[in-house]
Amino acid sequence: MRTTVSKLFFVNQHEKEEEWLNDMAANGKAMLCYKFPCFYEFENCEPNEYTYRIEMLENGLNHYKSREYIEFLEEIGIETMDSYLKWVYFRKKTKDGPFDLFSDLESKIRHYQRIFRFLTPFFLLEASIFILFLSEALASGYIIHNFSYGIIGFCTFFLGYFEVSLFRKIMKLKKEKLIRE
Amino acid sequence: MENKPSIALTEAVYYILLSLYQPLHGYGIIQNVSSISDGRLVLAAGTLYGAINTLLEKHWIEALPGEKNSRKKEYVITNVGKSAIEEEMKRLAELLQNGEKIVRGQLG
Repeated sequence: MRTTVSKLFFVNQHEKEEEWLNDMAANGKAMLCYKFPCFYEFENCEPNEYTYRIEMLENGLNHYKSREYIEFLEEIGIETMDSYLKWVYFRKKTKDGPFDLFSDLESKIRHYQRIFRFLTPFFLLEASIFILFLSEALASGYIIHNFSYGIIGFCTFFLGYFEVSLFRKIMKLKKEKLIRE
Repeated sequence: MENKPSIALTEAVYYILLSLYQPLHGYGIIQNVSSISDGRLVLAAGTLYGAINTLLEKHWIEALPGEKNSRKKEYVITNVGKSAIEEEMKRLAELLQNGEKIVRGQLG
């Protein structure tokens, strides 16, 4: 029996998203697929039958490196459930043992950096358009295109917030790395 | 091989190399490492994948020919990998020896 649940997670919240998917699995609902921006389809399962993990891959799903990676994961019992852009949803049977994609700080840092770098061009684009609008408004003495100005400003700050949040996570891990692996 | 100053191996890499003194596939490595570390170290999938690729690049391990397109590719340690392990064991022995000296006041 399939059910659809909607819940919104932002790009800097993939760990929270994992937690939620695992909570659902603990309660007998296993995630099958994801539809942007916030729809998840579930089917019934044994309580805690699966553990879910999410990763943003370096390359698109059709890239040979991604395919090699996914095949390797399959060999160790990890199923690929669904994907969105370069994001992939994985799961493994809980009885097979603990399931983590990254155990060392180095790979965790690299993963966060990947997400950060993915957002950066969008952020820079929004920020430059915003600055353009702002300088035009200051030059002409009044704020033109009120509505679009607001949207661009909003997007810029939104993306900026994600970038800062990711940056802080990366710095925290890097500090940790000074002490241990 | 050049004489490089010894750089610490991560424990995941150390145990992966140790596991590959006999040919093993990915799943076998995870199981072996978990067992020899008494369940303390369960290799993470992505970390294992990255480690195997790096070790292959460094020629510390090699992939065994096996059946073409086999879903379970096996790996084994090379001689270069073995000397890396031996270097690492010397480093670990030095660390432990100094620890014992200071903490327990015993000499190596």
